[in-house]
Amino acid sequence: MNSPAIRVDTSSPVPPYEQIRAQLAALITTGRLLERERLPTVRQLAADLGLAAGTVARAYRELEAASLIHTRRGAGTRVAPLPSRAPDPDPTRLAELARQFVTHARTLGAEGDAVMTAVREALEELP
Amino acid sequence: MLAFDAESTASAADRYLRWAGLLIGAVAARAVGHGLDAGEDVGILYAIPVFGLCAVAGVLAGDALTARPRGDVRTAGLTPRRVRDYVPPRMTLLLLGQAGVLVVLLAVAAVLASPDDMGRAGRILTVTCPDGRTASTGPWPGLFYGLPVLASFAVSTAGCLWSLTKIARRPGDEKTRRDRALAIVAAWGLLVSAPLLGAASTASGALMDMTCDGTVGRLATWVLWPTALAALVTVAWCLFTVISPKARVRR
Repeated sequence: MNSPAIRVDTSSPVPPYEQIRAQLAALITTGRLLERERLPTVRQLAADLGLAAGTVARAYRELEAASLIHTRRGAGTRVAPLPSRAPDPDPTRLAELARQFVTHARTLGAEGDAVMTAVREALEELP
Repeated sequence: MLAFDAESTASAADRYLRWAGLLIGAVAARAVGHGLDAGEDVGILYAIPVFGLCAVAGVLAGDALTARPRGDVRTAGLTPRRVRDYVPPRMTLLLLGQAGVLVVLLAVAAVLASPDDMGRAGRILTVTCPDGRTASTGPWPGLFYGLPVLASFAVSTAGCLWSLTKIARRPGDEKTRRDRALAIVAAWGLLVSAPLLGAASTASGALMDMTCDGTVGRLATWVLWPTALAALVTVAWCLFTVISPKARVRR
């Protein structure tokens, strides 16, 4: 299995720290990054992405505040134990997220089939 | 094609910077060695670390040329890169062992050392023979020689560790990171094995001059000669690796 990677689009209106935070959060909550798995240092990830260390540090801080990772001096940054998940996702919230996604996709000019394909590919990428 | 050209240009620049580091190191080491030899014969003790640190600086200068990621879309893996993943494992273990032997040897030599006939501490070995007379021999790697060695060893170890951390964090390909880490380890190895060669051969030479050092002296000589020989082999490997950045030797 390929090691997971982070992808940042610097031309996107979403700030890079938020892109990093969202992707790491998705990798952790979907189990692609396992509990206690070590993450790269802020400096390494920042250097690899060509971003300022503060940008990556902000993403890590927010993930730490959400209890998804923890950092200890000498032990580095590791994936925290997952909080117990709600048995069923909130349907209202899920519908709201879907509406947001469809709105953005339509803004890009995507048709219904292209939107469904993109969702299926994202689900395969992040099972 | 353009990517290949950029890569080969970066690789050539990297190599020239390393050689520039070596050249500056050789000139600086010679200047330091001669400068400090005017009063006392300790120039070589400072010349070796100066050469080694200039070699490290040359590698780091090449490392600083590593291209930063460009373009709107950038990707990065999530596998942490650690220094120990890039250093040559067997050679690093051998050099760490030699560093331990060097520290122990200098500590023991410092305890056994005596002042010379001019009252300068830590320069000779004096032994009381069974018949009551005292025998002295030198030079002996006491504190007079040991302190500069240990001080430069501490400084260069810190510098090399810092450099290895920088190299492991820098973006780029794995092969280049391994090449640079190898050069840094070889430069550090030079700073460990050259003083070990000097200390072990000086101490064994002094002990062989002694006629009444007994079984302990003979045993020490039997331990020191192989130590010096191993250090000599390591010095040759380190020097070869440092001065030939494209060398691929079994390690």
